Amino acid sequence: MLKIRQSIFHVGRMLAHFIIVVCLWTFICHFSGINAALLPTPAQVGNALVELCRGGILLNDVSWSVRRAGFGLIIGGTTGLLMGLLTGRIKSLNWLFTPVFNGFRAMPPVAIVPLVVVWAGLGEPAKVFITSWAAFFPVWLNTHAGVTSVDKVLIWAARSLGAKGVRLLFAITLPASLPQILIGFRLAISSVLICVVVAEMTGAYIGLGYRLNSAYLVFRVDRMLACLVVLALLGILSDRLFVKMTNRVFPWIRLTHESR
Amino acid sequence: MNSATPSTKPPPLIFEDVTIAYSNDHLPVIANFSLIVEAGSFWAIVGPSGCGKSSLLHATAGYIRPVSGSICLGRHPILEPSLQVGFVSQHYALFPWLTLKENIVFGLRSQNLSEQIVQKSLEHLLEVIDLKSKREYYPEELSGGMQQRVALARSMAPNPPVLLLDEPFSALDTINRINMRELLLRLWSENQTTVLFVTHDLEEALLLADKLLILNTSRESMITMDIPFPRPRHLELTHSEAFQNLLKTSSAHFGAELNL
Amino acid sequence: MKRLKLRLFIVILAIAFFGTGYWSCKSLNQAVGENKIIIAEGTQPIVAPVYVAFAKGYFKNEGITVELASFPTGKLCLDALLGGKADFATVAETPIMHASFKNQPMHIITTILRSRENTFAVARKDNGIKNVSDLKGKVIGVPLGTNAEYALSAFLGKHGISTGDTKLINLSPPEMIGPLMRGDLAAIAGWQPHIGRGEKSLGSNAIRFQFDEVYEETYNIVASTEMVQQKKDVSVKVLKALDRAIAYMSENPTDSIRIVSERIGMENNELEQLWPIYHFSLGLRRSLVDLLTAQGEWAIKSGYQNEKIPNMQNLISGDALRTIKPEAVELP
Repeated sequence: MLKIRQSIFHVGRMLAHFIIVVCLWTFICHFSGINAALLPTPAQVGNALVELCRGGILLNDVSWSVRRAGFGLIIGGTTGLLMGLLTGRIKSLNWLFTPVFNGFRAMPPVAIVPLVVVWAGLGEPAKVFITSWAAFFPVWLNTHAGVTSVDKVLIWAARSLGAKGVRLLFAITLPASLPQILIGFRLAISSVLICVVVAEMTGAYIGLGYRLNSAYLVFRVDRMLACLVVLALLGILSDRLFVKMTNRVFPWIRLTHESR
Repeated sequence: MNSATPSTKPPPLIFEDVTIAYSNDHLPVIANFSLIVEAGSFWAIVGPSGCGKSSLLHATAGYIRPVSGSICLGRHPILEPSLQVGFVSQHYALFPWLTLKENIVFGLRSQNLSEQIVQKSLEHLLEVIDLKSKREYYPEELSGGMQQRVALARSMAPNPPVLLLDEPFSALDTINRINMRELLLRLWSENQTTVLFVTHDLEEALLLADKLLILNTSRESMITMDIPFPRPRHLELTHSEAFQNLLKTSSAHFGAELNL
Repeated sequence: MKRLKLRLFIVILAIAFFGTGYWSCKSLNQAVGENKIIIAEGTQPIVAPVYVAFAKGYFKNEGITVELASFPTGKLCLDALLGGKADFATVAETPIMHASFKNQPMHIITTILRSRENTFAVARKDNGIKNVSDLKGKVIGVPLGTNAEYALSAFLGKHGISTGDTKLINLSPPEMIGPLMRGDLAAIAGWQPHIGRGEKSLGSNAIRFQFDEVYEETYNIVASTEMVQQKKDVSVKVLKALDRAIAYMSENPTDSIRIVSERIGMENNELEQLWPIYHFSLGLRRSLVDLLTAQGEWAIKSGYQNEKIPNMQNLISGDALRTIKPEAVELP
C-alpha cells in the first residue's frame, strides 16, 4: 500500500515538473518578444516530435544513438575502471599515466571528433571510439579517487584476516571503492549521451545527433528542440535505470535516499 | 570456539627494546619498550591519551614498523599483518559490502578450510554472539553493539594466537559495553588466546585482564601489576568488595600516571 | 591578516571578472551602433567583392564604418543577422530558402555572384564509378540541407536516380576530403575550394560530375527587414561600395586575388585557378526566385520543411539596388 502511494507521489511530482516547465516555456514564448521561429512553443515542439515518430524515424535514431552510447560506456567504462585500479594502487603506473590522462581529459570531445574522422573514418568504430573516450575519463578519475581513498582501517582489518595481493584488491579495495566508481559511471552516462550527439553531427546518416544537426541546418528549431527533449528523457531514464540497477545489485550502497 | 584448528599452546609475544616514532622530527611515542607477554595471558593496557597505547598495538599487528627494536611472536618477528595477530578496533571496520555471516567467515576463507568446517565455526559464533537471525543483514543495518559483536567474532574466527583490542567498547553505550565485556570473557574462555586489550577504563581492565600494564607519558617507564581474581570471571565480580578495594587503591596509586 | 588578504583577492577577482564582462558587452553592443555596421561574411572566395570593398576603403568612401564578422559558413552568417548580431550577411540561396519557411524578417538586396561551376561532385573511379548511374547504392558525403545537396538531388534526378537510391552522409566540405581519400566515401558533393581539393587528392582516380546543367549557384547579400525599410540609405551605400569593388576586380584581377588570398588564408595560385569560374556582378534576376521556389519544393519533398511553400518573391527587395543600378533589377 505504501509502495503504491509512493509511486503515485513520484508520478505526480514528475507531472507537476512537466506542467511547470511547459507553462513557463509557453509564457516565455508569448511574452518575451523572442522571434517565434527561434523559440517554438511546446505545442510546435510536440508536433515536431510526432512528425519525427512517423515512419519510425525517431525510433531508429534513438536506437542507433543508444547503441553507440552503450558500447562506448561498456568499453570506455571497463578500460577506465581497470586503469583506475592500476593507477590507484601502483605508484609507478600512477606516475606514468595520471599526468597523461589529465592532459587528455582536458580535451573537449568536440575538438577531437574531426581528428577521429580523419584517422578512423566515418564508420561505427570511430563513433564508438568517441563515446568510449567520453566514458573513460569520469570512470578512471573516480575509480582512481575511490581506490586511493579507501579507509586504511579496512585494509588493515583485511590483512589481519589473511587477505593480500589480488584477493586484497578484488575483495577489499574494489568493493570499498565501489560507491565512488559508481559515481564515475553515472557521470559517464551523461557524458556518452552528450558525445554521441557530437559524434553523430559529423559523418552520420542516422542518430539523434545527426537529426539535431540536420534540423539546425534547415532552420527547424522545433525539430531541434524535439531532439533535445528526447535526449533529456534518455538521460533521465538511463540515470534512473542505472540507480535502480545498482541498488539491486549492490544493496549495501544507497545511491538514493529511498528505503529498500 | 573455532573447531577448525586443534588447540595448541600459542607462542609468547616478546617486545625487545621497541621504539616507535612517526617521523624523525618528533619524539617517539614509545621508547625502549621491553616486555614478555606469556602465551595465553590477558593483558590490559591503560594510560593517558598520547602515551602510545594504540601505536604499540598497531606495531604489534604489523601495521607500522618500529624504528628500532623488535616484536616477535615466539621466534618469528612481526613485520606485516597476518592471521597470527587478530585486531579489533573501536571503529568495528566491518566490510560494508559483505553480510554479517560473510564478514565473520572472511578470515576463515584465507585458511583454505573445508566448507563444512567454515559453516560449523560460523554457526557456533553466531550462536555465541546471539545474531543467528541477522546473518543476512549488512553492517549498516545493525546497531553499534551488534557490529562490535560481529567484529569480535570475525577476529576470533581464525583462532589467532594473539588478539589485539584497541578500545573496542569505547564507542558503545553503557549497557552494550557491559554486554560486550561478558561476551569477550565468554569467547576468551573458549581458547584462551594471548590478548592485549587497550582501554581507558580501569574498572574494565581489572575485570577482564590477568595483568595490567600502565603506560605513562614519560614513555621511558611502565608499571605492571597482577590482577588476582580467579577465572572464570563474571560481571558480578565488579560488585565484590575485593574488586572495589582494588579499584580504589589502583586509582589512588596510579591516578597520576593515568591522569585520573 | 590572511583573511583580509583573501577578501581583497576575491574583490579584485570579482572586479576583473565583471569589468571584463562589461567591457566585452559594451564593445559588442558598440558594434551594432549608429555609424558602424557589421557584415557577417562566410570566409570563402565568393565573398570577394566584400573583401575588396573593405580593403580598398570603398565602404569608408561611402561614409560608413564597416566591421567584417567572419563565419565558416553562410548559414552562420544568416544566423548572426537573424539574431541581431549583424546588419548584412553573405549567404547562398539555400539557407535563405529554409529561413523563409519561418517568415524570418530578412530580404535579399542583391546577388553578388553566379556560378555553374562552383559546386559539383567528385567520385572515386576505383569504386566502380564510370558514369552517373554508378552512383546508385553508393555512399556520398554532402553537407545536408545546403545548395550542394539540392544540386546533387537535381543532378541525380535528371539521370533518373533519387537520393534515396544512395546513402547520403552529412559532412561539411572541409571534413569530406579525409574520408574520400580513405575510401569511406565513394563520392562527395560540395563547393570550392574544398571539392577541388578533394578532386586533386584522388588524382587520376577522380571522376567529376558537373552540376552546371541543373544548377546555377548564387551568392547574395541579405539585410534585415528593419535595415531595408528604415535605413535604405545604408543599403544603398553598401551596394555602391560593392559595385565599385566588382569594377575594380574586373580591371585588377591579380590584386583582387591577392586581397582575397590574404583575407581567407588561401594560396594565391589556387585562387588564380578558381577565379575564372566566378561571375561577380550585382543583380536581382527572376531566375533567383525560380531557384528559391524550386529549392522550396525540394525541401518539402525531402521532408526538411512541412509547411506551405512561401512566396519567394517577398524575400527580394530591389529598392536599394534600383537606386544605383536599375538595369540590374528584374524583380520588384
